Amino acid sequence: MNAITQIEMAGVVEKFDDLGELDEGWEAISKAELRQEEETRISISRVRRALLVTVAILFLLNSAGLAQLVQGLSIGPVQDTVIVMSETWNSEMERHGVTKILSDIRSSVSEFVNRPWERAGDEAASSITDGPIDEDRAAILRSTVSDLSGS
Amino acid sequence: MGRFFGGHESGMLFPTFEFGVFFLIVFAVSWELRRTADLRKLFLLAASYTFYGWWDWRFVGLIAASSFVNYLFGRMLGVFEREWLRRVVVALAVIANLSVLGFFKYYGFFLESLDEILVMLNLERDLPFLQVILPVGISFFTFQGISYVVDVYRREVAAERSLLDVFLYISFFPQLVAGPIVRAAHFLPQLEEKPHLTRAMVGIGVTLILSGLIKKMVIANYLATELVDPVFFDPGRLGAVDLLIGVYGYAIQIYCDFSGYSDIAIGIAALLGYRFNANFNQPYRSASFQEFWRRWHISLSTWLRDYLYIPLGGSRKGPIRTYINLFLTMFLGGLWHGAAWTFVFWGAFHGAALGIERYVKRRFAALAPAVEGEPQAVSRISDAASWVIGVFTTFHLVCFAWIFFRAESFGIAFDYVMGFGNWSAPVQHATPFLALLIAVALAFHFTPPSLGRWIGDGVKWLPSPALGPVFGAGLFIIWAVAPEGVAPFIYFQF
Repeated sequence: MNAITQIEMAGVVEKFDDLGELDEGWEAISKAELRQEEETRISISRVRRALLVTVAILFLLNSAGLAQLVQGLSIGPVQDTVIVMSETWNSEMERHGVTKILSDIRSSVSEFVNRPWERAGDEAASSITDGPIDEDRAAILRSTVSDLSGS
Repeated sequence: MGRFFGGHESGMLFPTFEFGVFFLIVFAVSWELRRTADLRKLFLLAASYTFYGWWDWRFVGLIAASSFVNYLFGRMLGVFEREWLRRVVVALAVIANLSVLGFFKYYGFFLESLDEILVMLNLERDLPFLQVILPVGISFFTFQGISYVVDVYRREVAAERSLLDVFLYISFFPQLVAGPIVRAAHFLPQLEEKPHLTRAMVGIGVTLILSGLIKKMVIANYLATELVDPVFFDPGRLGAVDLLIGVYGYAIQIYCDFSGYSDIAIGIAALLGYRFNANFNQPYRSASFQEFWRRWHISLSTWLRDYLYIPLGGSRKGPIRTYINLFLTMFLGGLWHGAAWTFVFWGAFHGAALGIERYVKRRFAALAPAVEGEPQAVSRISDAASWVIGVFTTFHLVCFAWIFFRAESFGIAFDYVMGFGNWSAPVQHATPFLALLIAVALAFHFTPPSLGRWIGDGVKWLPSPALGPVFGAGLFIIWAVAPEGVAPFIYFQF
């Protein structure tokens, strides 16, 4: 790309691709368009950096997924190297406890997803009584819930 | 289906590793080519065909042929001046588009229905049954083709000289397989302009991609696997509580599934420098069916309005014709969703509801005209009360229609409806988590309509070093919280 020289003239910028080739042609670009072009350039770099950081975060926190993904590769020297590198990377992440973040989130979510009405009711009641719930109250609550379930 | 660093399967769904890699390449290369417009468009076209071919390469030829035929019809309309000739061309174009759609989507349905009628009449025949595979997204790209030709006919858009632009308009990958249905008059001019990526587009793009993934991967997928699929599998053995939570769950699932896809599509298009209109606007806060259709699948409802309801005569030919036109539009809208009588019922129900609502409103307006000088407090209370009643009634009637939309057959839908009489059966599927998920998703319908834009503005002004961690952490948390596997988007089948 040739050096670009811009000469501002009453709101219009004349852009020459090369000062030595003025006769070859020129184009007039408004200031607004130049500003848009500059904003586009900055935004592209911004998103590009963000996407790279995103990929790095996913590689870091989800090394097990990466190791699992590469298992699907066909057999070959390059593929084998990729598989070994991924497994080594995953082992390192496990050793440093990074993979624990994912397993901790998953187990908490799983516990919450599978929580039955009885336990949800118990916790709500214990938060109301502000102390350990006694058996009688828990039984009343359970019977209310089991009324709903018909059991 | 594999997700970010998950497994592998054919088809390139948005929340997958394959699509992640694909998008990184498309983003980087397309912006590198931004100074050479035609090369950029050619690259985006190749990317779109790759995206589509990932499902089934055989249908790439179909979409190319459809684009070419529509381009030719557009050119003819651009050249011809005589009105009758233009009318013939546009009619041929619509027939050609609908014939392709009809063959792939309704051939089997038509023959099966015909066979059943012949059996009933004791006139059995050997009918030419074929195993027709439905190309992904055929309804969407066919509607876009029709939109282009009709817009050229109406002179709302000039006949496009560039074959490349028409091809890219019909096959642009973010909206190709499940919408939103993009209008030629809205998209083609964008292809003429030099592409730009503003801070605002980045903000809204990132926000929509993350919100779409939450809707699809977390809310829709949990509701589908834990509640809706088991409840609709055999509703006859379940009690009213499960069935009620099940249909609420489906209402939220289909909303999050489809609007999630639309959000991601709009977000991806924004990051590539293109603007699409919103496709959903908090539909379950609607206080009437008319309002519901202004908020639900907006690109389809406006398409049906502009290319079906208005050409049928709209409300210009008297009240009776208006009711008939409303009914016909929704009836055909229902059939568009799929070749099954349950979809036909769903469309007919909405058409009838729109007609009845219109009639009742007019009768009320005639019987009890607005009183001037009514105390403001009284008026406000009555407005608020009628809004609450309207929202409650509309939501429950829409849910009733969803039962038929989701059920595999009328038999299952009938069992489902009859099950509401059984309040003594034990609760089997409705858990606190699922109830909470439904409640939160419904509550979001009543948040300020500009909430998304405010979040987008926040992301827009994030310092560059923070954008990556926010996006990366957002994707990771969504992935960690979501259930295993990614179900295909519901609207792919349409």
